[in-house]
Amino acid sequence: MVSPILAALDQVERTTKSSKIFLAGARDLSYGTLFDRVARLTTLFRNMGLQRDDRAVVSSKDDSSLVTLYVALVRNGVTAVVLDPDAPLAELRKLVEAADAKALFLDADRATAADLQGVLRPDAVMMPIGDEVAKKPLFPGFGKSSNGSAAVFPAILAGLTPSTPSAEGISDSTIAYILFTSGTTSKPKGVEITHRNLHAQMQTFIRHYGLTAQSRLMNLLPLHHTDGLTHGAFVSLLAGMTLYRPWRFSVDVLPMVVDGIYKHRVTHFITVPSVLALIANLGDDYLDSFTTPDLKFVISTAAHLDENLWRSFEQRYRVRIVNVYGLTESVCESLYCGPDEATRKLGTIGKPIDSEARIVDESGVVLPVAKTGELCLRGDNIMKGYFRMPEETAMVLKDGWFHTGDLAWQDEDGFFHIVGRKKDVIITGGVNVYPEDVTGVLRSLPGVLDAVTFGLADETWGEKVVSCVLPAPDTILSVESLAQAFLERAARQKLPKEIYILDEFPRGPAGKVVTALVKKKVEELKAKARAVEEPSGNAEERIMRVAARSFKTAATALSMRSDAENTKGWNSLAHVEFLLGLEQEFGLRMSPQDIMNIRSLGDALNVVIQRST
Amino acid sequence: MSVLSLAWPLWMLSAVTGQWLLPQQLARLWLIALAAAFLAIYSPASAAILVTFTFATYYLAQSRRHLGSRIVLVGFLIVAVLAWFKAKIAADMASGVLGIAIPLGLSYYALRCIHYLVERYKGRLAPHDFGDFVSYLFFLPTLIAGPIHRFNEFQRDQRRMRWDSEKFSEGLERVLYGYVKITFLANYVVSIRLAESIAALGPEQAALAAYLSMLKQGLNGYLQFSGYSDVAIGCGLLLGYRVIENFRWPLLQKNISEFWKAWHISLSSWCREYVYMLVVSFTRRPALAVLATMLAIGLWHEVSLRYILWGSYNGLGIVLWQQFQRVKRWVPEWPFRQTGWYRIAAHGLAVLVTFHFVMFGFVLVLQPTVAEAIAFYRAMLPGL
Repeated sequence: MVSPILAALDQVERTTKSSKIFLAGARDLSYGTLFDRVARLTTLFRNMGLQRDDRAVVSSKDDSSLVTLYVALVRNGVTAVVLDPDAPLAELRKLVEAADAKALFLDADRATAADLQGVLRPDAVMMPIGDEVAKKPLFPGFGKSSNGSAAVFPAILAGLTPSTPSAEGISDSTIAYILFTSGTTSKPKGVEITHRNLHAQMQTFIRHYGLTAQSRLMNLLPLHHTDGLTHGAFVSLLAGMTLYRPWRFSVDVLPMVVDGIYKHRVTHFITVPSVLALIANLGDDYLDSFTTPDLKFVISTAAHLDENLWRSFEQRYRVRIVNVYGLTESVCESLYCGPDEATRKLGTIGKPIDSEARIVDESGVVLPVAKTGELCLRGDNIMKGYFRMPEETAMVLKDGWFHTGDLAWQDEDGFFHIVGRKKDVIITGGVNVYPEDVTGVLRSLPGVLDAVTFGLADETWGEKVVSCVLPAPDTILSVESLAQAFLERAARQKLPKEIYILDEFPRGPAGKVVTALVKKKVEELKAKARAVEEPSGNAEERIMRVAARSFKTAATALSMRSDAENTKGWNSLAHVEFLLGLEQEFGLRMSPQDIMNIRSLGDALNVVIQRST
Repeated sequence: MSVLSLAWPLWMLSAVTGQWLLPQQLARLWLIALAAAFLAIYSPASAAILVTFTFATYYLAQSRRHLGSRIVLVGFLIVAVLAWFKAKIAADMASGVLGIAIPLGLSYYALRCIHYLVERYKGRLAPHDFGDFVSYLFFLPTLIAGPIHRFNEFQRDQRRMRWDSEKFSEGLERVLYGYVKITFLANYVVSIRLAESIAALGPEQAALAAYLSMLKQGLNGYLQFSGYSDVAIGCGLLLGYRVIENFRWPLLQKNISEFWKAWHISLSSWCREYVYMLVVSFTRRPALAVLATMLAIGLWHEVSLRYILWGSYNGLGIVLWQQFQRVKRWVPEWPFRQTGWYRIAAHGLAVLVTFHFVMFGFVLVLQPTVAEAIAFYRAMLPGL
């Protein structure tokens, strides 16, 4: 059957005004420009010898270039292999080798053919991604020019005639893209998503979310993850709507993101639970971004959404959160909790939409309601398999059912509840980190005899990556040097948030490290450190006690957001009492700059932490 | 030039039209150009000073090297210019000479520049460029008479800028309230009708006449000033900006500390952050900091004896009230103090006392000289 994606793309091209903005980002990309470039890329692909079913790597920090290339590849039946633009060279080499791609589109400053020697196919062609137009300095010899050569995407397109992409041979079983789910040390598993899988997912999104050409989506998730690529860019394209990605996400731009929801009248905001937790700490000034009538709902994806956060966010911001569940292997999402009442139950991952879900035991027997087992999914959105890994594929795909590795149970109303994970993966800030990857990198560092990695609960990030390291005999290691060396070998998102250097690891009878005991040891160390530093409770609690005394209010009425505007009794005299109280409580002397910087309890906490470290 | 002139609505109409019809970047330039043209026409000296302040403040505060020293230098220069004008005008008034007028808006944009400098030093400014800073200073609604709005909040509004019919409607309402306060309540009800009633009092009611005159002047001052603020805030809303409130029912506050959180809020909060906290951070003595702050507020209005006295009077009032709060803790919680009637009566009395304390203080500055203020007090209180 001919790929339904092609017809969908053709329809969007026909019916959408060419001047309408598809991607509002660092550089705006209109529908007209996008499809024009797709047509010119079709010519380029032919010139490069790229054909249907070939694979092409795409990796760029420039959203506009990445999305354009991705769409063009899918449209031409070439499998797009989208890689992390920030992965260090060692990891990139591993993934390029695994992808076995005929073409590579990489940022110009990323890697050269020489850097990838040994992992490139002999017939592979590399095309660097650079600026829009080759820039020349105003005066020759002064200032920088960029990409003087026109053999750079997208500058190269200017010299190409547009061609109509052929639909011949592109069926619904053609592989649209491959995304790798694990990285450096273990063999990377490339999830193969067909045109049929992708189309099914897109239709579900559009129908279930009520997306139209008038919708405005904000999704800042990375484009080398499915939640950015399909749950953001591609669904926006197929719906003929506008996607807002003005910034690369970091905590610093969070206020701008929330303001952006207001400014651009965003109708749907897709993000991860840790970002919602950060937003929940913003002041009341940001409430109207979510109470504006334009915003239909917020979609929380990629990680567990804590029920308390869910409830408090909805209450405070008066906006509905739709909690969704899925994996790269199911394109993106399979179960939805909301937005409609039929699928909504707080604390759950909802119900399957356009797919099926069931709970099975170790031997694959379907379990009844209220029994915990492995969650399995089936539907048109389930992957074809892992690229060139039939054994690994067979382990998870059985009779059309995909075994997720997540433990769950179904209640009598049909809602699914996640309880844990069968497979060993840490989800931190919505990103999957495999402990064996992190351990492998640590073990490869000079001076490290052994390492173990696990996840610990974290209020903001859901989970954080924690590693323990055993130094080689007569070796002194420091956390800073380990972190530095780690980043030379692996992506930043895999860097453990905490690294402990231990004298020994608890081991079982066979000599294997008992991770649970190492974890316990770390937790004991942390508890002991807290007891030594803070004899009467943690810093936040102590600050609130001092504040309650100074402002004559209950500590339960205070939070780190409390300031003179929203706290009864916080007048200038009480403020001075509070400052003096802090100095006494923590045994420190604040500088004039510290004092002038304290306007809220959160500011006080920052000062106390700074003064204490 | 004031908001009551016929030209003002035309200026604002140009601003509003450009703001909502032009693309956002052009609209920003349009607003800057209008504000600059406005100043250049009505007060060329002020335009020149503001341009100088703008460049000096922004560019000298860019590099982090010796940032503290450069900020102190620029801040000192700004204060010196402001103080010179304030002192010159006070001296001219005292000697009955019609001298120079204070450059239009200088009192306000000088404090905005100092606010920017201090926040830059603290590292609390949101990322921005020179254009953002110029937008902040060259903002027509608040140019003449405040409020002294803050940079981060202004920039945030700019970042979030979009058409909002509710905000626009609120702005129109606010402008209307402001004009009603100025033209009807202040200029007619208080300045004409109340004045007529006072004039109708006989010589045997001289004390009452003086008392009512005090109220008339105080109320007129409040209505005029808050009315101007309403117009400025309303014009800001018409352009999509929500600037800081300046008055929050100050004459109904129950103590002098609350009064100063509700009166000329943009100035009092500025002084609380940059004078009070500075003095506290060095001395750890809140009473001294309060006196310094109120003195600064007085001198900001005018560098003269009457404003020094007025600032000190209010400062002393706050210090005494703060000491009273400490003593009050020792007063037993008698049962009758929990009753509804007691609470209402106590609240009413507190408001009345505060109101009169404020009004008495206004006499010091609403009379042309200290001597005349004393004479006024004597007229009110014959036994004095």
